[in-house]
Amino acid sequence: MNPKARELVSIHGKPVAVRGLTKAYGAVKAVDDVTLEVNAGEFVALLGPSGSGKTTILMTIAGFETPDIGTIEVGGRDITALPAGKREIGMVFQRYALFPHMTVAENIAFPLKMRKIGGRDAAAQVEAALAMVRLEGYGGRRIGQLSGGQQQRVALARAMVYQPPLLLMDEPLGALDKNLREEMQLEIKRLQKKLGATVVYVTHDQGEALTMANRIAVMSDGRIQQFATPMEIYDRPANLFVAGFVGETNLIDGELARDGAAWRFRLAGSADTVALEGQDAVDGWRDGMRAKLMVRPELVRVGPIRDGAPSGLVEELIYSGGTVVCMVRLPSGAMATARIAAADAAGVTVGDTVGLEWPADRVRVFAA
Amino acid sequence: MAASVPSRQRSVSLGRLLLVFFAGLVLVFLALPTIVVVPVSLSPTEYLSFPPESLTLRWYGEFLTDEKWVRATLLSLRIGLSVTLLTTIVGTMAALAIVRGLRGGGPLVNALVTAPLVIPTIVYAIAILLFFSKIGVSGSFWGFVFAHSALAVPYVVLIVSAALYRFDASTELAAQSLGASRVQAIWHVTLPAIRPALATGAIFAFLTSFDDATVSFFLANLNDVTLPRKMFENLQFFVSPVLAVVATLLTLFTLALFGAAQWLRTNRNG
Ligand SMILES: Nc1ncnc2c1ncn2[C@@H]1O[C@H](COP(=O)(O)OP(=O)(O)OP(=O)(O)O)[C@@H](O)[C@H]1O
Ligand SMILES: [Mg+2]
Repeated sequence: MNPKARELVSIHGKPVAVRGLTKAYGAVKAVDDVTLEVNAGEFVALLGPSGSGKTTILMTIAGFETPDIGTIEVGGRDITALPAGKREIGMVFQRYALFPHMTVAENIAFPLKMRKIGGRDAAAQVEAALAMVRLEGYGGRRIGQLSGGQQQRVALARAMVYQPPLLLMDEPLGALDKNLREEMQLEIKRLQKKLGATVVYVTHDQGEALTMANRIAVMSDGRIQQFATPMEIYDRPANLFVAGFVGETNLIDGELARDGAAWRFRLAGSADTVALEGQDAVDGWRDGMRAKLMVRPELVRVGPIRDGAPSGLVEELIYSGGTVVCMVRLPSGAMATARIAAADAAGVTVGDTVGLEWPADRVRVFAA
Repeated sequence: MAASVPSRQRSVSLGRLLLVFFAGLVLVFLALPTIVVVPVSLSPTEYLSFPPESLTLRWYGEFLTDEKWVRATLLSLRIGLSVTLLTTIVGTMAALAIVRGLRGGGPLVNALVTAPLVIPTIVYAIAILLFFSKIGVSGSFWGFVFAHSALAVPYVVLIVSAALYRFDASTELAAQSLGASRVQAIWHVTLPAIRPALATGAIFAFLTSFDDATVSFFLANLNDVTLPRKMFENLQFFVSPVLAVVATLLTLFTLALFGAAQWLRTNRNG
């Protein structure tokens, strides 16, 4: 890429603060008291099931919906009352939303035209933006002559060419097939990092959120359930919803058991208990309280039976590459999944009764 | 398209032959009377005759030099163009309001605006005459323009709103996020993208006005007559081959405009 082109597009991301945002449609609270603070140059993903309010938050930040309550600040400036066109926010839509009657270059020049930038300045910036998304030489093409991936690159270039301090993306890769989606994930991440852009990215694909985002806001029913780094979300989910929504997981029924100053967890349908360490919410716990234990399949080890420790009957072994998924029937009747190395699975056969083990500080227990 | 039809479907069956035969028959019955006016307009006789004994452009010259015919033609053209301009603007604005603006009120406005389509034209014409005589615009240029506009605006609204429904609304939002105001977004993005529909609507509006005989029959005064009205008069008093000339020219003109509308529709993404 030519070095001059690099200078022309250099976004300086600004911090974003959404405070106490509430938006209702009739009786439905699409967004319910959401507060979200995004740092300058940070990539934040809004992750949640359909109807959880992700798009509504984005539309409110962009200025297409007015909040019932709450404020939006970009770079310390309150923009809640500004019309969309005056917010200086770049937006990328799921279906690209390119202008069908304009060429690629005209599309990218549109935000410049709206800012009364024309002539050679505009042409140079359009060239730079095209180079940025690796579409040099495509300026004269019509939109209909581009593939889906190329169209989304044009949409990216168009949203970045005027160097907005904040970029919003609503499932920008939702319309692409899997391979292209993965390629574009890397591409967007590369651009965001290089340009230092602040990005709020809506997706319901957890893999996408985990690989791309600095932090993830997991949403359900219009509320943020947890806002943390991908690792924290995965390892220390704040509640049952997050635990179940992000990643594969075992949620094992049972109850809490006090053990002096410490706590143990007794699996339903048995007297077997496991130790608990490093849990967050112990304040509200009582002895004998019903609870669920969350443990990721890759943390579960399968071994010999030990007295007083959980065990179960191996019902199925599924080979998938280097690992084996081992389905174990617990005494309660529920199924637990262990993902173990192929080498460790050598001694295990269907019909065996095996002991189950996991690190006491890597599981999460939620009062149910 | 035709090339992709599998060859076994080419085999000629009796049913297919009958279908083609009857379709052809219907076409002939529909088109023949219209086509007949062409040779009639080229006949040298003083009266309408078919088939003509020889061919001449005499009556075409007559039409172009007769001040009354020319005036009627120009009046119709002027009215038609004014109606086109007015209804394209008003109709497009109404369509925008119906599709984008009004939450819930869209269907009501839509029903109101398109009502002239279902009211019998003659009922409408009588009502317009009574109303216009009261306010004193009957027979005036603007009287024609307004009366025709009410008849023409439904076509614009229907055609433009159909195009707006097809057009992805997020494109308009994208324009706004890129720095455009709502009006700029519509002006720079939405309207250019639905240009073929605007042109088609305009053509339908023009033809609605240009072809109208019913309303003109009620509104026209003795001096200012539109072309279709003038044709009626001609028919009543002295049936000259100029009538066939006008009919021929009208048909060709209308065909050309419809052809243009059709072309715009099929090439709208070109
Ligand atoms: N314009 C609207 N009118 C009425 N209800 C709406 C409107 N927009 C959104 N909603 C409702 O608000 C809630 C949140 O919608 P939103 O589009 O924000 O969800 P989302 O998280 O983006 O979902 P998805 O993943 O399906 O895009 C839903 O219950 C939806 O039905
Ligand atoms: Mg959405």
